[in-house]
Amino acid sequence: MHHWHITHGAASDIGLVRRLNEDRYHADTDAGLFVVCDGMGGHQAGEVASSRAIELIVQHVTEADADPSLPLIGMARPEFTPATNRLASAVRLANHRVHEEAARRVDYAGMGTTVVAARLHGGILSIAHVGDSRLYLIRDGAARLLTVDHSLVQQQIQSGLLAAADRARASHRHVLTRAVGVHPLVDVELGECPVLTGDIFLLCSDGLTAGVSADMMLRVTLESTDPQAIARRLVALSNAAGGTDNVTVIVAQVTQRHQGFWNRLCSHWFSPPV
Amino acid sequence: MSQHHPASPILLVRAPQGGTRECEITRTPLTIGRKPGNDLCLDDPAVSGHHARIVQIQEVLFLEDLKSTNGSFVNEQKIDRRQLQDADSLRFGAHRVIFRDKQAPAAEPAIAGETPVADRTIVVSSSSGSAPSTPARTVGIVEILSGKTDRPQYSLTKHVSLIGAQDDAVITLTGWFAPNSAAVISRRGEAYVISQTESGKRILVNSRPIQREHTLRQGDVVEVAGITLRFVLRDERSQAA
Repeated sequence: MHHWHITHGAASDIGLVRRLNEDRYHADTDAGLFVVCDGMGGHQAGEVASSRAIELIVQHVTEADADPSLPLIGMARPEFTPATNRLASAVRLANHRVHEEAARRVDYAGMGTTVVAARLHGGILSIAHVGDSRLYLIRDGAARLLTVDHSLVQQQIQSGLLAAADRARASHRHVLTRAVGVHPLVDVELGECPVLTGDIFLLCSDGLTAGVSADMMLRVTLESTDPQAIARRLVALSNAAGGTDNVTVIVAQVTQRHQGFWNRLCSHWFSPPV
Repeated sequence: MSQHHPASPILLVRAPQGGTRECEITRTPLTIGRKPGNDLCLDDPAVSGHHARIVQIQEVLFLEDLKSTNGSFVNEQKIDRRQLQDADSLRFGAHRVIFRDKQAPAAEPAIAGETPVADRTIVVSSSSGSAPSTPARTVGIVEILSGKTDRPQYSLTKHVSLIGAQDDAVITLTGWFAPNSAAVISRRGEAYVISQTESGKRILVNSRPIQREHTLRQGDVVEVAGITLRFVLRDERSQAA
């Protein structure tokens, strides 16, 4: 079943300005699950929101692996695979629980978090995201953004009110239009991408994209074959660009596990007739 | 939730020649027009001297057209009077204005002892923000020209459609030695892309082998794992009409 092999690197840093690192991440190559959350809220609430979201997402996905009949949270969308619907379910669960907790404690009021979650299953990468944390695919020497920010700036760019070049300078660039934990229900955006050998997936919080351009990310990624070195280098570049925000990055490289010649021959000749 | 920060709602004004400016709604009525003396002055021949105004009734803001020549629009609907909601898009002449209700965001108050950081993240709830992304206007159709499959034609409504013999394949191959996964066709925005799978099966598009992935065009003929298919893009709007 395991045709794909994943190597990864990850790094998270408080940056040079903030007093707390409210970013959290999870990377598990065996389960093929990668999540980045960027929390927000006063005192320690941002950290609480991002940590809880990670825990809940991982827990829900792990439980569903053990028991596929585990009910889905929210409506299943038929155009996506069960694995993608499961990931969406996990994010909705996280939203529900974080929102509940925020409602229970005054010091957690209004806390929330972004989520970008990706899972590789059967050659297809499932993507679920809410907020402005991103997922890039680096394939054949080009970087492609696979998520669309849920931010006011993005909305304005799409409706023609703001030029894309002004994105980084806009005073309202930290205004999100969706987040996990802020409302009782959340609209989770989903995507799927069939993987090819050599693909690199890069998940990051907006701290990275604030200071490091997609071109720069691409260049750094192509300079090294070690995902951990790439992750560390990207964080260093973000801090060099001012480090105004927490920064988190996961670099996951997918390669095809080479089946032996004998295996291939066997599976070719002795696959059961349908 | 917002009692700590009675921040005013704002208008983000985008001039037709470019450039964005902000106008805070600190008091009402707020008048909008071409002539100087308006609270929001729009230098635009298509804007009347006294074009419109924003009035407040209790907690709610309304936009009122002042019998302007070219009309006032909210979300591209011509209005006489309309309650304003966060993220509404207003238009006067060639000027576009976004209304941001600052009451809505769950912005946290500055915390004593902590350096105020200007660029804290906040969330606004906006109806347009949570609207699902625009539905795809076209759908790909696969017609099987030759080879053993379970059906003669397939609509590619899924995000990723697998061609193969395995259970969850969309285009199910029924030949005896058909590979579990031969190829995948996936949506990328409005386009469809065919790509190789881990099986490494050779894929021909219009008789030429492709490497890794290939964006499909109308009428492309694909050969893979003993089947030949034609790819067609169909406009959903013409179907619905």
